[in-house]
Amino acid sequence: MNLSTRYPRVLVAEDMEMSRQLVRLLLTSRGFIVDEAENGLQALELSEHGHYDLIFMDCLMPVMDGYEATRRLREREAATGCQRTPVIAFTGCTLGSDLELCNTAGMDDYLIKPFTPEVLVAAVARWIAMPSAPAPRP
Amino acid sequence: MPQTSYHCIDPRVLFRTVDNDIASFRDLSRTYLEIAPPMFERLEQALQTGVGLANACHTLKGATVLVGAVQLTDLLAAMEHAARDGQKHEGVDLLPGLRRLFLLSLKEVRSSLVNFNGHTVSAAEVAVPMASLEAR
Repeated sequence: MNLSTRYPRVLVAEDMEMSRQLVRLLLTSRGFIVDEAENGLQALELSEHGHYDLIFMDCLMPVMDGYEATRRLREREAATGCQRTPVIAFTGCTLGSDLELCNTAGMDDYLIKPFTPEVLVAAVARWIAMPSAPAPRP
Repeated sequence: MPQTSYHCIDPRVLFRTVDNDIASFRDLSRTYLEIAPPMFERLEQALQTGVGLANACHTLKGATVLVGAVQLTDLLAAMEHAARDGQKHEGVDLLPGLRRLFLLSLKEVRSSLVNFNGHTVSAAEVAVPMASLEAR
């Protein structure tokens, strides 16, 4: 392995285990390193201590939903001067009001569930460069 | 080889979602069998208490849609919307049909773990047309 290779890190915040597993499978096979959070609060904590190139944030989660977590993430970035991390919402709704909620919370993009691998990859590629080599297995 | 037909799920949906990788298909199918029953129990409890029904429907719906259970997913979506609108009793009325479909989804996912290899299911063997899922 080339030691200079840097694998993009993605945080997936999603309460439903099967959805997390799916995104993990699709992204690790394409060279991403994936961390997982089960709710917005966990996502906030993980993103405070580790750098992520991209965050997938489910809108509806227990403990703290994706809207609130993103709002707090944006506040923290503004307060600390950290680089803005792209946040892509996972949503089951296509209503304009729901997408407006995503936008207002500070999310940059959205994916409507369920999605195909092609749609997921296209969403990632809109925000970060795709890795050229598979990431090592943990 | 036994002929398998699917009336509740469409295994091609999950297979396509995991890049046509049979190992991933089986991993996710096993996860469905593990996580969906407790989700359904929470939904039934929520129907009794009226607390957390919309979220219970929403979470289970996220799993059923992945295994291509269209009718079940549609029912859960209807219940979720009714619950968000405060119409708990409509959800109670839907429970028997929901339970029947849910148990059928478990049976068919178990069957697909054994019989589905990505190539053995023709459109004629699946009651739910693929196009109706892709249009979602």
